[in-house]
Amino acid sequence: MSWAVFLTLAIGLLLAVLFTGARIFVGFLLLNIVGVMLLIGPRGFGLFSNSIFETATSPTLVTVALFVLMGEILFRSGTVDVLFSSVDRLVGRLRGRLYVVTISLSTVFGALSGSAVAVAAMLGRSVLPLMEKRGYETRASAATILAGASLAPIIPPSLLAIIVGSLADVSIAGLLVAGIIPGLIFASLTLAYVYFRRGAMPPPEVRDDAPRMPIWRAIFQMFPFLFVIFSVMGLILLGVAAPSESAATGVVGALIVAAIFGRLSFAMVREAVASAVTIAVVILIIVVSAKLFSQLLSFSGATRGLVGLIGESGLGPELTFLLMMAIPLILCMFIDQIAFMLLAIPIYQPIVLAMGYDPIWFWTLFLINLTVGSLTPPFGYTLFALKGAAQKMSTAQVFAAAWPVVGIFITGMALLFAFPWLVTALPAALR
Amino acid sequence: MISALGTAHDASSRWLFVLAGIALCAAVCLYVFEVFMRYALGAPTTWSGEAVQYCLAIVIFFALPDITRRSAHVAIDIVPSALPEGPAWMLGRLNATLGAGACAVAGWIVAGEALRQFDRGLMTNAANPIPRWWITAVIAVGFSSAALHFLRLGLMRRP
Repeated sequence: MSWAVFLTLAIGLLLAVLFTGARIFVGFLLLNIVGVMLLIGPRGFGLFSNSIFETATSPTLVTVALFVLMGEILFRSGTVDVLFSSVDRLVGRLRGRLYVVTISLSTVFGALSGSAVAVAAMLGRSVLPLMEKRGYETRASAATILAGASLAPIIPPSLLAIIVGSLADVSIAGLLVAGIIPGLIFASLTLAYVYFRRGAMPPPEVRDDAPRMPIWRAIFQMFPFLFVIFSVMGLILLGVAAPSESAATGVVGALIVAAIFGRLSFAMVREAVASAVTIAVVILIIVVSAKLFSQLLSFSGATRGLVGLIGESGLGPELTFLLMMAIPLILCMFIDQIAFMLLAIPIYQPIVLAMGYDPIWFWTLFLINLTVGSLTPPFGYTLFALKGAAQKMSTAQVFAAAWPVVGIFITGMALLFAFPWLVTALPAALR
Repeated sequence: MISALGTAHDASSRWLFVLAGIALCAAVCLYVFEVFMRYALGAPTTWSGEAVQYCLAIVIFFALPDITRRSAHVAIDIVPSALPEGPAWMLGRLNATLGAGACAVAGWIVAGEALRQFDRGLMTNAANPIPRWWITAVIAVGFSSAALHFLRLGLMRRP
């Protein structure tokens, strides 16, 4: 069987199975079972079994489970409420201050959870009703929440970055750190959008005060969270812990923060562990089931064939890059980010190497692109998370709020394309 | 009889899920212990990282049956949610059967590999090797139990 036929059949089979509503991991398992039978036959069963064994015991994937646990402890202990009131106080008296509060909170929550869906749901429940009550424009408010939530997969620790790093064989620490500057750029662009958009500001007669709390107390309350961020990113940057170990120290940091605020209990930890196991396994079983696909691609000759095809097509690195970015942007509107990632990374990886792109730069932009796909109507997951949390908003309102955010992120990506050092400078300093 | 077997299967899945939770907590403790030993005492261990890797396999495959029982897996439900109730239910049944088939075949392949590893006395490729079939068997148990849950979901009567 030629590689082109194999690749077309594989992608066709997977998409057909996934669109019927089959569990994503089942789709990948079927793809790999059929692929092994077609390409190798029963002799390939050892390869199938070993791929699952090696992926299920991968130290980089432990990081995903541990970061999820850290986020669960912080959110379930209610300590993030303390963070909310501190950020709210520190933003102070400013017109349209809740936009700034939302973006600042998203940046910190992103650094604590790594999941856009979780942050969208949380802000949709907590901040959006407050913004509506204070006369903020609904569309601009929802746009700020969507943009803020979409920072989570970019700002470290990002679960998607860890999965991309482990599949594309790129430095996880480098990919995590590479998200810092782009995350701050997207946060600034979003604030610029709401401040320049006509009608986004609340009426001047509406009371929009910060909570009554001394500034020193607001700052003091934030210190424990800085400790969590330090126990994750600080230890990686200092070279004390590998990313997977820093996730474990982050879990201990989260437990200490919960204890400091008097929210540590056995029941809370039990709930956090159960929830973290569920969330992590739902993600990891897809990765485990899909990993063999890259080996099958290589075995079928598709990896070499694709690189040759791109070389013969005469497309330059710029046009190839645009093509490689357009595909996830469109497909992630319809299919799950992780499913797409697992399908695309083995196909993209040899092309990235052949084109000579900086791997950290390319995969960071790829990651941002996946995030944009998940907030692009009509099927983005982040949109559904906000819609689920903000029952009063119609789907049409959520979609209308999403388009400017898509524009902001594409503008930001154009900046990162034009000035690659915005992505590569920090990882280079780390080396 | 069938109902009692179903109850026992559900209970076993819940217990395996508890073990998965314990394995995740153990992974945290082992990594923190390793960082402490390396930087505070200057005595890194050779076994803690390997133990964490095995914990991950236990977390994934011991939690898989209960997550399948709760239908908590991610799926793209654009088509099923757009269909009328009857066809959507039929499609759900078809998907559960597909899941049962895929997990059963995967479980069968991995179980065969575990037996082969046991026969040959294969060990893990690590500084402190353990019999490789210990972990492969955990994977086989996870897939097989998940296949059974999918099968039960597929055979469930329409409410």
